[in-house]
Amino acid sequence: MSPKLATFSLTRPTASVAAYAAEPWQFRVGIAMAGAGAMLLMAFFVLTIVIAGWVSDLNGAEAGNVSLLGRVNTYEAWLLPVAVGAIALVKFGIAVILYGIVRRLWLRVAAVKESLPALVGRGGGK
Amino acid sequence: MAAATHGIQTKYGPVTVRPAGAGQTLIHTVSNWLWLPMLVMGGMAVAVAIGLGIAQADAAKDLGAGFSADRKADFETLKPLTAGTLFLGEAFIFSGISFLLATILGALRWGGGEVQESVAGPVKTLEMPRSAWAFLVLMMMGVIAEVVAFGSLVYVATQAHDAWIGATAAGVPGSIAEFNRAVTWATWANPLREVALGLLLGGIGFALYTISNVLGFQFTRIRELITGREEGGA
Repeated sequence: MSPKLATFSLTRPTASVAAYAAEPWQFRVGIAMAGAGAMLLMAFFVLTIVIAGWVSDLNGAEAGNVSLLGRVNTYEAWLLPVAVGAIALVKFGIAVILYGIVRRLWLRVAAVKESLPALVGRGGGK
Repeated sequence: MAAATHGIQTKYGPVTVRPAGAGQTLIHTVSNWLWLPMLVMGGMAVAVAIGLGIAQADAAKDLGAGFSADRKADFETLKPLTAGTLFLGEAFIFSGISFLLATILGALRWGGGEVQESVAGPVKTLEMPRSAWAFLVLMMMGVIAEVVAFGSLVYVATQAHDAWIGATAAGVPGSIAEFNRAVTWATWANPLREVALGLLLGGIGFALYTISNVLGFQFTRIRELITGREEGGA
């Protein structure tokens, strides 16, 4: 593998080690995305309870009601993809947090590289 | 003069001792290239699936207003297409997350080497553990299974369309043979989607285990460098 390829990284920050203590935006954004996805899922769950009521009506007094069956099918048709979209939002939140972890890891590498020689001198090691 | 490359055994697994850092492997480089495109493709597939779901909802509304073979065929065609596209998107997003985890492993290997080089000591690097291979194999199997499931659901959609396009009444498909084929394929293709997601999640579990093992090795190595005492033996 060529050296250029071996050192390619979209996640390694170019910031100096001074940025080590800065609050990474990825953690806040990731948590916000995951939280928003979870709240959407809860809202959709409430909607499924309403749909369950319609399904119950279809099996009882409203048996054979084509219009009600159409309404159930209509809601179910868009609810599944939108709910999976909300799950995807949670996963994107996880991905953003992981991206933040890799960036943090590289900053930690820079910080340890800077401080380790001094520690090695004091600890008597190497 | 620095010692030549040789191998030792530690409680974290086989380790290679080199005079200089090992950098990242081809797998780490590929992961660095692919995590973002995978997440973008996943997001696009989910967005397309939401569009298909809205179209399916519209078809269901039309069907509720009055039966026609065209409306029924539209509804039955869009159902497997929506599900297939949705789960393909989910699989791409999981793949993106898996590649990000591989990127973390790459950063630990490459950065760990740089840290050890900073004190001009021999660089110890963990060999790729079996759990990392398991992670890769499960991820690839998961993506392949998801693509197969998607292809099968597209086939189900074509069969469902052909089955219902000649329908004369709500519960009576125009072609029983094509209807049966669509039902048969959908019966195994839908669980295959779940299997694919399970494989991808299993792979993520192995990746997290590998990260935990590598972190343990790195902490031990830093203590070794500071105290000068060999630790982490087999």
